[in-house]
Amino acid sequence: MSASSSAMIKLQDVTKSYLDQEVLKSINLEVGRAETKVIMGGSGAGKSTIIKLILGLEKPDSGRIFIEGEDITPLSEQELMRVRKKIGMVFQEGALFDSLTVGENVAFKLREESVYDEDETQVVVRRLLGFVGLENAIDKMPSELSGGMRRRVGIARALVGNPKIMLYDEPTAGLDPMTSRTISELVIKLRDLEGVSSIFVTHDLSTAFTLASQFAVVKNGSEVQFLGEDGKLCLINTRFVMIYDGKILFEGTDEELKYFDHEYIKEFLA
Amino acid sequence: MNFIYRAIFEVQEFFLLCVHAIANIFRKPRYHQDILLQMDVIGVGSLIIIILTGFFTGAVLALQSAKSLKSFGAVGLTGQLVALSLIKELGPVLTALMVAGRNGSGIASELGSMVVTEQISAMRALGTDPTRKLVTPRMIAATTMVPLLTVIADLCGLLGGWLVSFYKLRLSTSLYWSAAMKAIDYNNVLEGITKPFVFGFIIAMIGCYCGLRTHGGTQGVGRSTTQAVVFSSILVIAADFFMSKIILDLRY
Repeated sequence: MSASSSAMIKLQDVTKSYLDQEVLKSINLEVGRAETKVIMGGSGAGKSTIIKLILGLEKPDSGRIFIEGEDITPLSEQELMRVRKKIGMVFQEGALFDSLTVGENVAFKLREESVYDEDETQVVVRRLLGFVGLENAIDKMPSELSGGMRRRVGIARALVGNPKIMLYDEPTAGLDPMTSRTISELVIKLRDLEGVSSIFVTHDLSTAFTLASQFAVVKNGSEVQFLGEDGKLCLINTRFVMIYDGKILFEGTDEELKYFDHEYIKEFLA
Repeated sequence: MNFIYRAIFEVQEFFLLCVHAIANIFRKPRYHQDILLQMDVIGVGSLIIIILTGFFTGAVLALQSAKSLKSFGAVGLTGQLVALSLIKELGPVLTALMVAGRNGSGIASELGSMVVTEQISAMRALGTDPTRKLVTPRMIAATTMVPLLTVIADLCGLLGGWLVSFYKLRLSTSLYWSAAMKAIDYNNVLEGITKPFVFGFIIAMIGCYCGLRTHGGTQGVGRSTTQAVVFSSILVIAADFFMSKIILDLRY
């Protein structure tokens, strides 16, 4: 295996257009082990499209996409199901099944695969809901939850099967700063404690900078602590990717982004 | 040219969905729970409107036909006319149209809402094929429930026709039913319950197809729902014509 194929996710010259509009023009992107790429850009810049392509929900017009070294572009829908099992996806509004309770939502994948019996399923569901701090909501319907809670359930549901890759599609859009922070902490915990590789699509700057400057450590055996709250740290495992006009305009750390000389980025950060 | 290209594309997509939905019957996993739930929604849920539709259709048939039959001095044949029209045509078609309006729209709006809230994408992301989990159960449920509903509609129609014949036309009960029984022979019944299988299939598949191709938010859901009802109603009536033609050609 070559060094490049050890990347968890790799996009090679990927293009995608809808009808006549070219959304992505030659995107090259790599995400390594336990690394987070924060993809930023204006609305309609094709950020969510990248995630859908990685998950195989849509096919690129040209170019290739590798997941753990495997080219997924020629795979059929049936074969893609196997690849998708390695990936956890958090959708914009949570995308919970509104005919099922919170517990059933989280248990959905386990019941589909029917590897566990009912007792074991319940244990896993409670553990995952505990991780996102929503153990008490297990019997609630998604419509009874707030926006932030829905997304946390979405994270719990995506974590079934301990995926090594997580994709977040604007999980903090439209949330208040406190709730956004809770979600950022979950993402940081997964990155630093579980070694999950992830792509985090957002246009929320404060969330992005939180991800790039804080890290989680375990103190005294079980207590999780977040360090770097002053925002002065510059983490190497979290890099920013700026999409503009269907191309990658910038890729690097948050510090580099602040001093990058380009009209659009300056405007974006202002 | 663009329009023709799009139309061909849509037809192709529709047939692919049908092929997948049917192929799923023969492959695991199967969703018995979902099938039963859909049977309840389509079958039991439509019972009241089907009973009422059937009853009044039969009643009005007796009322109207008696007038024409009277000029030939053949009022006694009212039962036969009601039974024949109900079992061969009106029972299947009206049942299908009611189910299309009630469940075709329901299926399209439910699946459409799931598309716009990304629940379909989420299902695929979790490794479950939406065709298998959502489309096939609805197809099986509609294909089995519409024939049953048709039989119920036919029976209620005969009852409605009898009530009108007895109280309004002053026909004797035995005259009505013996005339009706003449129309209910093996061939007519066979025709009358072959059609609803096809109609049920059309309603479920058009509903699912329109729902799954929804785009453009809540407005799109409304559009899909309307399209589902319009397309499935038209297709039901068109299919009825062609099936009647084929059956007539086969028999005579």
